[in-house]
Amino acid sequence: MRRLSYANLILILASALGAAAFLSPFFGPPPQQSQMNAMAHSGDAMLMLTLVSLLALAAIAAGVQSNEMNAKTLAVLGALAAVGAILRFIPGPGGFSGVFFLPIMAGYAFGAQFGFLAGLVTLLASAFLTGGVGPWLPYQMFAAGWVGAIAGLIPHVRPGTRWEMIILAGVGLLLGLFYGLVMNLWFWPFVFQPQQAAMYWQPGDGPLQIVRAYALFYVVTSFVWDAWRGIGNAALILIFGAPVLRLLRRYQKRFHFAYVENQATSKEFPQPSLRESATP
Amino acid sequence: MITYDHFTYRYPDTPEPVLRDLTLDIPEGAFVLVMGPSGAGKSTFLRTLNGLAPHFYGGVAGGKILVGGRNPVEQSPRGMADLVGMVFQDPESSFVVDVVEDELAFAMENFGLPQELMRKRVEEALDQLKIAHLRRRPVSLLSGGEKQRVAIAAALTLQPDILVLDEPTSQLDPQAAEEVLLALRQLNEDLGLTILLSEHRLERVVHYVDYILCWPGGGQPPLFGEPADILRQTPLTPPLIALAKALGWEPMPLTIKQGRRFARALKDQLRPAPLPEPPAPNGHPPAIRIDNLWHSYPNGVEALRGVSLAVYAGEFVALMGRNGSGKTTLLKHLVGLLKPGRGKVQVLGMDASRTPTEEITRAVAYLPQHPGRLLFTERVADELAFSRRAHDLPSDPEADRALLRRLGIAHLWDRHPHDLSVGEQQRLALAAVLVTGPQVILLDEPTRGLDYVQKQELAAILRELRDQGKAILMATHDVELAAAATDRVALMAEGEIVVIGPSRRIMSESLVFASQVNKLFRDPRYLTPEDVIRALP
Amino acid sequence: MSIGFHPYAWTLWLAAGMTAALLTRNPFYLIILLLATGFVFAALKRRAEQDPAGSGTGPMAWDAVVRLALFVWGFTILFNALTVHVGEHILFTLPASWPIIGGPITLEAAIYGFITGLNFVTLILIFAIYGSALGAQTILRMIPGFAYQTGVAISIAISFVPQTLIAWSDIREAQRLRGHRVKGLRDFLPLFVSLLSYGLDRAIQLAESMDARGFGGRPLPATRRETWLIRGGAIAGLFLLLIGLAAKSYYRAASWPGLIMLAAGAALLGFSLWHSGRRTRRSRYRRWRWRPRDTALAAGSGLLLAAVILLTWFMPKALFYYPYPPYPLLPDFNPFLSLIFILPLLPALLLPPAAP
Repeated sequence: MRRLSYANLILILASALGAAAFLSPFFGPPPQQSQMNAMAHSGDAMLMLTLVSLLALAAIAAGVQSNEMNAKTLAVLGALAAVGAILRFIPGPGGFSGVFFLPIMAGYAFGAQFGFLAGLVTLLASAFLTGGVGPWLPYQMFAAGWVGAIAGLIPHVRPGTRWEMIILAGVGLLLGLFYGLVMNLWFWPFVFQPQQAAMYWQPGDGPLQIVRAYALFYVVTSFVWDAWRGIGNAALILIFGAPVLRLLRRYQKRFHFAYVENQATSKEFPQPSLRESATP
Repeated sequence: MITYDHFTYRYPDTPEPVLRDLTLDIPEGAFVLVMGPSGAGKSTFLRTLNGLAPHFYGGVAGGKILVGGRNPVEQSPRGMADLVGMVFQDPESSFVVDVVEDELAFAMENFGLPQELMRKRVEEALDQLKIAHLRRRPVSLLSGGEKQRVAIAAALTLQPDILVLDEPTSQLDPQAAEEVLLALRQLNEDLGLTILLSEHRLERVVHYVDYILCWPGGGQPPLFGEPADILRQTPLTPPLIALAKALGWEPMPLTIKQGRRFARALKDQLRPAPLPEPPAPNGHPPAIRIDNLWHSYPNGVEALRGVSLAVYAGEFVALMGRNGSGKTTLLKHLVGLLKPGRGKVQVLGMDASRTPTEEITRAVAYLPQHPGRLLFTERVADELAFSRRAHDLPSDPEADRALLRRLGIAHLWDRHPHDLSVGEQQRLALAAVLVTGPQVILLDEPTRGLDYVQKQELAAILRELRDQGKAILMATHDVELAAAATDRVALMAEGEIVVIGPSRRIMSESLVFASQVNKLFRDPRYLTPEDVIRALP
Repeated sequence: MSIGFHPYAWTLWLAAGMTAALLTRNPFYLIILLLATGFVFAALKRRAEQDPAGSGTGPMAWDAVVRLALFVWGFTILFNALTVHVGEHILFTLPASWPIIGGPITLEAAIYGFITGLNFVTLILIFAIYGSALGAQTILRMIPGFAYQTGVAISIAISFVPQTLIAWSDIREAQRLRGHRVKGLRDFLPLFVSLLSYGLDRAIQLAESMDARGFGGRPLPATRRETWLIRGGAIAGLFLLLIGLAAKSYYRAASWPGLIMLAAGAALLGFSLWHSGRRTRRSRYRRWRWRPRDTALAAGSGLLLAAVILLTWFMPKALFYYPYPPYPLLPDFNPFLSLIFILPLLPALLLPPAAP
């Protein structure tokens, strides 16, 4: 087991905070105030949660920076995000989006931390490009970051074989659904529909009721939509996954080097046969 | 200033080190030309000066290296930034920010210099490179030469002692390259900057560099010394030097001016063959026929204005002219990548505006400007198979191997195309479009990044193809290649063919497009060193 | 690049507009807010058309923004009207046997959707204005020291996109030259892999150039104490935020202990971030000038921000509206209150003419 680095610790804590922000409306007993007041405060609750998740993201950015990220990592991140952002424009049915393919591959190849950043930066860059910047963005960044990070956590089973891609495609399918499941939460608790009780959350519901209501809401409104995203991920991974993974691993080799100052004692080099000084 | 002591470096994945046991001493204030065949280790060597190798390429480094008193492997490129300024081949992909001024300030911002100092140094750098008028322009809108001068200015604002340039002119046309090299010469003379420059067009720089560092390739140790000494020992020489070596001219002339003296003395003794008659049209219809072709781009630029041209089977024609004169636009019409605004384009009897590109290219090979872009697969052998599959041809590894052997790259059969050198990639790309056995060959700037020997090999391959009856049309800036291999030359300017005729006539009437040997003798009978040597009594 | 105003003045305008759009549910005020931002949007669009080179984002898809906004608006109205069958003013009735959408379609539900859409449309416009007034590069230049590297990664991504699109058409051209036809998804494989490898190659080249020019600077050597301060501050801050959030959500009745913990956590984290940002020596070449019109814009935006926050805190009903019974269908309207929602119009009024 590797030692937990500071950057990873921050990533985990900030993720927990992000998750709490997603889920916080569900904690807690029924409000004592009038329903009208509760509803009046839904706007500022949302604002506060947006601010909290922004803070969490800032902590991640600073944590990564302390990790001596170098220009190489940043530029590779930027290039992946650029191609990923363009993939967002590929038309497809329902919630299909090419945006997640590269974060999943990058996370799988380079690890969870890189995967998180790849998801986050890809989403942010594509938001800048499409004008999709808004209060929902911190949630999207978290959700996409988690998609990349989860891909970085799955074990590498039989690298280089067909099975590897099939497993990864399955993960991609689930992650497509997961993203929708998470993203709905940014607005669902705030949509007060006392009249559609079955599909919406009521303050004071128990956990089981909440889950049941959300499950119904999810199945009715977003499952088919998200399924396309999952299927899209899986299809992209099955078709493009293997060569893209080979490509990423080629670049990975350039991230490490060795230096032996006194090469006479080193076995890294064949003994040089020519010893010719070329001084003028 | 720069000391290598038994330094060795090996890339990951390759068994043999690129730099083997290198021992070298470069004095302060020297202007050093780094030359050698592509793939011999020039770039790698330059990148060890500030630690980019091994920091960006992985692998293993060993031995001692000291640049300005620091060890770049330990300091990392970042720690060398105030000592070594670096300029790359393609300026566009080295720009970090969007506006010229900000690009110049980037390095200083990283070092936290105070604002007043930054302003002062930005002004100085703008003046040194004569780019003050570009200060507020977005870098993406500059011309190639302007971009490269901005890149040099950006490398200078930290006031490094050493400036390293990796083939800074290989993407530029001759005029822009001249501007960049002149600027470098001035920096060396006025500021005493130590400059290490790798460059293929030796004729432009040999006369003002102090030393040459030559990598012979094939794992041989480099040669380092005065220009004339080194040039005597290497086959990679411009035509003037090649001629001087063949005829034993001493002291070796490095410029046309110095060479004239010898040429004048020699001229009366030469017994040249009479000018060959241009071959009469053989009565067959031309392989390429362009009638009154016009083309405007969507942004309104008229790229072609009434071009007419015919190229026959067994003929090799060069298209020459400035960047932006319409050469590439013309070539793209021949394979249907662009459609004519007006006029007709016929290739091998096909109407190029109606036939899909995928179909034309079965009979017409097209080698675009960046041959690397043409390569898609993960193995050299697969490239040829890819072409065959795309054109529905049966797979034939034996024929593929024979083709690669003819181009001199059969030993790379199992390698990844991205690991090849520029020259090797270029030949692989040529193989990938020749595999269908085309009758017409179109080439766009095929000599970029090639050294003299590779250029001669390419010329030989192309002449051989021409003699097999293929029609070849090549856009190029390379006067020497055109002089050595082509039958006719068409000069283009502003979208028109200004003049077209036999190469010997056109190239000796022109000042800009005259080859070096022709400049020496000013006679259409002498375009290449071989012309002169053949005429010796 | 920053059109008309200092980037910080624009940022304050963004914060005020966004907060107002998020906290207000009263349709009258929201419409005023939308009109005000709409004017600014039109003024910037006109200016960009006069002086295409002066625009921050270059050619921006102005019409696409409007189309997106209208689509979102239409969608929320339709979705809400079809799924919520509550209210006294029934427009028409769909057969009850249809799942979800069957039942009475009411005016109240449509109005609720209309207001939700209004929130979104205003937000979209506000962010579109901000993005085009400053341009991505300027926005990224404002990123504080502690997140500088992430900012650089994003800035690289954004500047790579147009280049990648050009590379896409180059590669496509090259493949046609090789006779490669794209018939199915699988035929995109060589295209996509080439594109990605081109992008990564460029990224490495760019990184080489950045590192060779000292990117990342030389961080000041941190003392042990400083490192502990920064790291401890960040970790403790995140913990406090986490606990505070849980406390505030669980004890809704008395939310102030949670709020205090949230504030303390934010302060700790902020301190740590600020401190870690100061450790890298970086300076800024660009000078942004603060002019009187920036003061005016900042003051106006500050006023709006303060007013909206105070109203939400102390008079939650002032900005609130809920169409469903038992509440009245007609929203309140206070003419004095409505005046503050005109404030986001300021950039349109103060915008200096484009330089000829």
